[in-house]
Amino acid sequence: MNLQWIFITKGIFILSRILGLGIRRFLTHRFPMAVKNAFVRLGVDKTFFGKEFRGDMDNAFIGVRYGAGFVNRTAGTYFIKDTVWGNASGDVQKATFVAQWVELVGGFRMEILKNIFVGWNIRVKTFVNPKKFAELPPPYLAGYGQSEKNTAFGYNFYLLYGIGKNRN
Amino acid sequence: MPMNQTTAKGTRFYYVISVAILVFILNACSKSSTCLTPKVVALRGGFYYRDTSGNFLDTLLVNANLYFGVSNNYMQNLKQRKQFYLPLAQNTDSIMLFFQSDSNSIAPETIDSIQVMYTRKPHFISTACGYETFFDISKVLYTTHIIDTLIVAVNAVNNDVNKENLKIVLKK
Repeated sequence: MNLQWIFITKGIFILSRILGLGIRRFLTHRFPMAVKNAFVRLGVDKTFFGKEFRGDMDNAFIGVRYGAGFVNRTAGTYFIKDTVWGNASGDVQKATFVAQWVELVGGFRMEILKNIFVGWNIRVKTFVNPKKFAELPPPYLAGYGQSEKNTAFGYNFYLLYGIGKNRN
Repeated sequence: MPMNQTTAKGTRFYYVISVAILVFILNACSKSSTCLTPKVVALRGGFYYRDTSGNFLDTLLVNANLYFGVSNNYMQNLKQRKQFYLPLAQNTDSIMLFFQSDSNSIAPETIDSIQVMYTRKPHFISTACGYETFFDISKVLYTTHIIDTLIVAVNAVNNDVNKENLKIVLKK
């Protein structure tokens, strides 16, 4: 679940805040586990184009984000097949830690009705603290995506409501 | 809504939807869960003689065998080879190897046993590949029919294929 607010400020900068919460169970995953995480993402966007008509809020943008959140992962079990000496298995302890990442974002948004926007963005994300994910990373982390990759690409399609009165 | 505004909106909407579909298709095509990483972490060793000055000289074995596995049911033939590599057990903390210096002879004085003791640590590779095990050699015991000395050169057994863990010095 994600909540997003776009605060429109003067000029071409838009401050973007995103809060999110993820609760998922990966029962059929290779390493069955449950993951809970909550995150906050803060950043700024810079738009490319000027307004073609009064109240024109459509634009392409690039931006940067800083993301952080608590991650709670249950214990997991692994299995190693070995035909020479015999199979092995073991448990990985449950873990609670803080994940931090930075993102570069680029995309396009368009106002389809007053204050209602649709758009997409492409994100390149990298962990600030990748060592936290060295031991059984969750298959999916809300706000980040596949956490086993230190650097990952992602994309979003979205429908959002803009708050702000400055449309000049 | 003026005409030029309507046209601009229509063009932009087409652009937004087209790129969104393209990104979705490209992402769908790039999904892969195939494991492409080698998963066997091997113990690596080499054979040596000691010269009169005490220096180690690597040597090619004429035709030797190395037996390993749960019931010693795996064999590596070392013909004109000076190095070997084999997996360690991931479910116990030691393994027993048997070095047959001449593959044509089963005389006890031509065979040595080597017990390698170690600690284990699971290492996550990826979701597709799962786990592998890294080892740290703590002790090596061996008989000395053919083997003169066995030196643990590098304790850590991991994915570093350029390191030799054991140096087996043979009697002349």
